[in-house]
Amino acid sequence: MMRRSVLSILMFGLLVSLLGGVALADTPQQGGTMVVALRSDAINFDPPFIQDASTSGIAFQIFEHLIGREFDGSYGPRLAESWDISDDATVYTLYLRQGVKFHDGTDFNAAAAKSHFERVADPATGSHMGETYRQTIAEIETPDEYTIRFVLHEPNAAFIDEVIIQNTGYVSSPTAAERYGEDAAFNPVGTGAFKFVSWIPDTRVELVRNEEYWDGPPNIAGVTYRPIPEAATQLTELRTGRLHIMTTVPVEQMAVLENDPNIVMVGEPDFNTRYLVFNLANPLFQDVRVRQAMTYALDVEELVEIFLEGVAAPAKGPLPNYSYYHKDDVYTYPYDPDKALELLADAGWTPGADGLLRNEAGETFQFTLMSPSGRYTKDRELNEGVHYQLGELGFDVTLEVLEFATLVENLQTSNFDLGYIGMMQRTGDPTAHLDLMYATDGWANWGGYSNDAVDVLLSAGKRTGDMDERMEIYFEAQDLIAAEAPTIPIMNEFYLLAYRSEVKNFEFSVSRTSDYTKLWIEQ
Amino acid sequence: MFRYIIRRLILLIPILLGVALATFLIMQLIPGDPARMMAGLTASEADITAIRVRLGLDQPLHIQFWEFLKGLLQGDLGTSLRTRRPVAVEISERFFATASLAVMAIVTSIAMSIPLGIFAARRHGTWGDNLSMLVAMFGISAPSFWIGLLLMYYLAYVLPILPPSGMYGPPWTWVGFQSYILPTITLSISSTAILARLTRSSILEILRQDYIRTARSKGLAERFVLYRHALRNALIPVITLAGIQLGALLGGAVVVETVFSWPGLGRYVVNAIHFRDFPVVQGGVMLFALCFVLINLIVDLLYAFVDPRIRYE
Repeated sequence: MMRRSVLSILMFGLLVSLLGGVALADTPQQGGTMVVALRSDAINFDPPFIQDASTSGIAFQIFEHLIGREFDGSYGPRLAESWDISDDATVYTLYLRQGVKFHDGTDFNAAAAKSHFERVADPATGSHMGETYRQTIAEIETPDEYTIRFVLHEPNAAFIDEVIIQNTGYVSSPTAAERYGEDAAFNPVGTGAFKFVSWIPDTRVELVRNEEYWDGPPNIAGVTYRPIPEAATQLTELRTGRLHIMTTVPVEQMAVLENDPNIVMVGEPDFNTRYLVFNLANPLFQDVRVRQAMTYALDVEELVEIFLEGVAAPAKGPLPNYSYYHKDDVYTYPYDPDKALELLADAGWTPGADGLLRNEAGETFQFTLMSPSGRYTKDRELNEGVHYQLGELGFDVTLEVLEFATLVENLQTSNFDLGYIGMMQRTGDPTAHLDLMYATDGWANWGGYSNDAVDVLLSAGKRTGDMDERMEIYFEAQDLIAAEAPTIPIMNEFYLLAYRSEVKNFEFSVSRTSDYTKLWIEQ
Repeated sequence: MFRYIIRRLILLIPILLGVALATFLIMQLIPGDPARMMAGLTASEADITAIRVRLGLDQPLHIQFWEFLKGLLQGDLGTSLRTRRPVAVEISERFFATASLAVMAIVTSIAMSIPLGIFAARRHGTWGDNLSMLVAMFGISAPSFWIGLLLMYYLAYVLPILPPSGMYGPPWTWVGFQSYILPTITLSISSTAILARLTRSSILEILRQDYIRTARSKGLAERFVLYRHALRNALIPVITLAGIQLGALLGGAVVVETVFSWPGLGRYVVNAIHFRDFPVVQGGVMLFALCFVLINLIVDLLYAFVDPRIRYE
């Protein structure tokens, strides 16, 4: 009930903001500086090193990608007006926009774009994406001044997602990169709608509108970002009108925001999954029946409803629910403790007199559940719920709450039994999720899952550019993975934000980055 | 006196070396790997190894420590693993915010606590004494994030006279000063309470001394007895504690810095701990240790001014 009411409020907020936008869109006012809160400060504005959400959100206003992602999930033109992909998905030819200039006056052309991508790939640069770029791109050609061609080592239908639409794919001015060197972190020069003015660490980042922006200058005069780590402080700043957009809406504060007529709240699902991962090196979890039983034993709907009050949706399957490749009728595990006990009995585990599950040797089903605290919304509380529900069925679970850095190290070194973690990507493309988490050599396959059939499918999906064929391949892969339950997908969290009602024509866009070019502030 | 100061300053060297070693070892002992944090969740082992080599984290511990010490002697605190900028530069950008806030807080504390302590001591056993000590008890017990949010709610939202958060300039500008008010009050409440209680008990103890009885019996006015004879002696423990409090305010302002989005060192170092940004943590802790030791030296020197019997050889 609670969930429905919050959802309807969110939808209402979205509707109101859309209607407001439509009704007043014809009379946008010019000027005004929009103040946006960040949960943490920016780190480094040089695109090869951008990794975190705060920097990425600001960089989105300063820089542009060659190709972008539209609201409906399709690709859209940005610095490239159009593109061709060879049938075998090994050659990507992009036709670039003409007459665009970087903020420092440098011409944007194929040579500039080439220089940017080569800088990311250069081992001397030391970008975290360098290895991926080198492994993917064989050569970058510039047949004419406004055409750039990426020749890949092997077919890759996800190239645009993996290389172009990454933080590292924000095209930066080659002259600025050369001029500033290491100081490029403090001197970002792109082609975007806003120009960088200054950055005072932990205080603010200031941008001013780019009067020469190729798509017309924005309505607002500038944007100021303020790092405000405490959500309650963000809330006060928003309510006093010193802040226009609040980016961290805590679940507990939603009621306050709903009752404030000056504030509009919007929520949108994005491409994240929070899930429990089994360490398959642990003999306890090697039996598929045990993993399935544990999945049946968890009432995920209830957990999400209790702890996330409708700001997340229970996950259905290994791919985020909102990915365009998500299979709606994917193999799932509705809450069914009887079925769980049945499967456990088949696997040799039956409840003893004390209610604890025991095998023939009389051993209890003992393992540790590792959870971060404060990294994801209500992570610790949710895992206390998981701990309770599994305990109810007779599992001998110890809940260990860890600091995030420690949890990551434990996962990456296979030092865990069952761990709670989140995967957040800019895109819903399956390569960014399934390949990382479920391919045998996937970088985020911490549980050590390996299934030849899944590997073959994932590799085939990556090699074909045909969308229907990909859809079929990934539907099959999702079912195969879900049936083997190497993870228990818990939920897809919504991205919530709240803004002042004087902000008009606000467009909420995917991947936690918002386009500020069309909005305006009522003065 | 001069030789005493020099001797104390020389003593700084082994103290700072000890702090450097202790911080280095503690950072090694806590789980979590900086290379993994830098590489991100989805990095391959090859990427992680490459980063580890680049940062010199693959070297044996004693070599890593030696490299750190060598840099330190040249005034180089290393480079932040996260931002790739020199730690010394990043610290200097934030030191003023923290130090000025701590100084304002301790000045406020002293200005409020000593009169409060005297008031309570003079009215020892009365309701005025009990009430002021009750308020002081509240100040010690109330968590600063709660007080901070409460003050923010009433003074920035209900009665919008102050900015809710942020630092808008140095305290000598009007806009800057306004932004200092809320964090300064929040930060000073607990030390005001502690100092007020100490001032009260210290004065009460002095008032029981023989020389006070002598002063009173020779007919001196009570005000003169209190301010001229009792207070000066009673202030010695208060100065010591104020010094310790200033050190604590410098390093312990994390909560207040977070609540008020203050661009200070505490928040910076705590973030660095979460990211296992070793050079930043080491640099930050070294600076805190240096401040602490220097404050103690100043406190020791102040004794001589308050109590002429104290001489340093």
